[in-house]
Amino acid sequence: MGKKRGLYCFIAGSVVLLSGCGGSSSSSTETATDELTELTIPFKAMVGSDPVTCGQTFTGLGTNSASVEFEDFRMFVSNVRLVTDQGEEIPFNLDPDALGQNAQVALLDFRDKADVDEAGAVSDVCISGTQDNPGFKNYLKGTAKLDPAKTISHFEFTIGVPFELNHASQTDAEEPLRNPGFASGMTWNWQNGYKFMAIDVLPVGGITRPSDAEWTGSAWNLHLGSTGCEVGASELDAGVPPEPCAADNRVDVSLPLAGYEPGAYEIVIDYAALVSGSNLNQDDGGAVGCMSFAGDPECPAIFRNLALPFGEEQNTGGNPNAVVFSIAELQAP
Amino acid sequence: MRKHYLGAGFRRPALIAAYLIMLTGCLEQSQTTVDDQGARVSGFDWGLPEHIPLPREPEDNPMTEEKFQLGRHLFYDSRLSSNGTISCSSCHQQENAFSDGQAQPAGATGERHSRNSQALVNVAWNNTLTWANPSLGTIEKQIMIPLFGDDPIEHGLNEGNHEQVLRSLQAEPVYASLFAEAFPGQSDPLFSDQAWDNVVKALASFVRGLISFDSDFDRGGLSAEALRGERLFNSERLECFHCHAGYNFTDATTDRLTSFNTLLFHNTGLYNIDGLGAYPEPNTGRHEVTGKASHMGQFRAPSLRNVALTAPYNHDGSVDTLENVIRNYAAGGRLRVSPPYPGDGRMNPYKDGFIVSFSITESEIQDLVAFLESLTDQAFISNPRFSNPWTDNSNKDLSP
Repeated sequence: MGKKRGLYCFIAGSVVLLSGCGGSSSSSTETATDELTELTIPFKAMVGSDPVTCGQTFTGLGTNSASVEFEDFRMFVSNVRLVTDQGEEIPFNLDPDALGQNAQVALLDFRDKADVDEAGAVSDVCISGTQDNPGFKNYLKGTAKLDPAKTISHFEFTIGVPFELNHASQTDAEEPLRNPGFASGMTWNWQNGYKFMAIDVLPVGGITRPSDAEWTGSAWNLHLGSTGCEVGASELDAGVPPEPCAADNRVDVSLPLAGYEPGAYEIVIDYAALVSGSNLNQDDGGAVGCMSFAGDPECPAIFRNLALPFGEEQNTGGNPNAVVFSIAELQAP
Repeated sequence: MRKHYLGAGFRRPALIAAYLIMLTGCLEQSQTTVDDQGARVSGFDWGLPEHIPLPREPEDNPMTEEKFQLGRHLFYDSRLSSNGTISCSSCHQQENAFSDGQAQPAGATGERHSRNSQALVNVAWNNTLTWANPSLGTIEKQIMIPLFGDDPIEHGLNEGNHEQVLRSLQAEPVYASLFAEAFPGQSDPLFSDQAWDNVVKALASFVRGLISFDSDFDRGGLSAEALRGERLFNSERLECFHCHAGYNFTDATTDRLTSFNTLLFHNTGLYNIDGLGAYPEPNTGRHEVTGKASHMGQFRAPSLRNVALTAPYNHDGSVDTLENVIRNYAAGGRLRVSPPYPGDGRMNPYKDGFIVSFSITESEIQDLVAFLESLTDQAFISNPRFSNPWTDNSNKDLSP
């Protein structure tokens, strides 16, 4: 855990600047707007009030109070920005040299355990892992142009891989988009792109289908990604721009910063809220769990909680009773 | 439905023209009327008959003999799977025109695939890959699915084993020179972080180079029976030639002379499990990718070259013989009275406008089969260029 404690210290030292109280920085006010301030934004995956960890069973989830163990919990984050109380967007420039991120995309990986062999190769991430997962990542590192005269009121980001990167070659992509590589298991080749979010759980008691007494399943998967991606002529004729997907399924998150002391908060994603409308021991057809496909019976409840359109439902504003993303007081690890 | 019919009608003259061009050998003439700069330029000896236009080559992966040869070794290498049990050739066997004779094959972990292994014949000319995926335009992208896909698991490569799998390739002495020759611009193509990209590009080059244009049909030596079958094939009564069009016997063909690409998929009335046109999941065809109701049950027309070698048929291997494929088309779709998935495919509302019922005698069915058999290319399935290059079982030996 030494590595994580070191990270926490760094966060405490740098997040102070996030709130816009930049007067304490060494830079003079004349040059402040031209200088980039280093920032680290911590993220935390939770199940209600408990932090997500591998190898632990979490209880009381969804409509039937299911108990689950995590198999995967990762997401791509892009388009990170700070928004002032005047509505001005200040880009958060991801540090391309930080682990698991490039200038455009970061891969958050909340699986804390893995098996690692003598050569450093990783196997069996999460489920049976007994060592620290070297790919574990719960923060964004980057810079922003902070002006002490401006007050940052919101922190915003998108869960997803930008369109231009989502359909490019994976084998020579820049990490964390490379497969095999950081993006192993996060690709969605059937739709010619990436899983923007993959949260897979193993429910105690398994999964059944009311429509098929013979059927059983073990993993209830939540895979978010663009669907309806017809390549059209774009791959065939050079110079033809790619066609957008029917459903891009990128989640835009905007969180108000007000009310917390500088450096005292973190971004929280709550799985319990995300699946509050789902029965994790049951599947009504299509892919097991919700895999974003049109007509998947498990997706309406998930998409509503993510405030994402699904079919005819716009889901604007999401579900007021399911707060999936929030800002919370930063906890010591 | 109306739109669907109009769409089918619209493309008809163009396809007939393309087919006639091939039949009469007038392509040379048409080549003088189009800008075909680069159409005959390649670093690879395609060995094509004069009347066959070259296929596309990706700008970032032009064909070379060296990549083809490396890809051939990888294609037959079972180390390229999670447990050393399967290679590409497990489900794509040369004697079956690179299909496998099974309805639905199993992957490295034993999980059964929901679809039939496709033959790999002139894939270079396909404008989309797999049975029905409009998001896949290159073989390079398609190859990621069997290698790294997790639903279903095929080769089973994943986060937890890809480093070990690459190390096993790096330990093979033959690969040092093969990689170096295939990627001469790279200082260390087998050990650098481009290694997997190189694996995929080489595999794609081998598959792209699997060429079959040397059947009895191509040589012009058809039997009387096959000639009668050819006339049936091209008749307005049977309508086969609309979807199985042109020199590669599929309307999903793109080459360097193609100036207008249309990606075509067709519902042939195989299923209708709910009376509303549904195909059994997950094999809903183009609909599986797009989610559009009108795409239900639409699949890409496969090439008919070597089709006599690729039984069982259709996307899920649910039709055992060519005769029964023809009988389904004669009925205007498949009526399935018993499980699994009973339903009247003939009444599928998404059925292609060319899947109309027709009368056909048993002897005509045999004539048509004789024509389809004339598309078998014996040189293709015995060509040593396409065969297993490993002279012993070293590729099966995973011990250090």
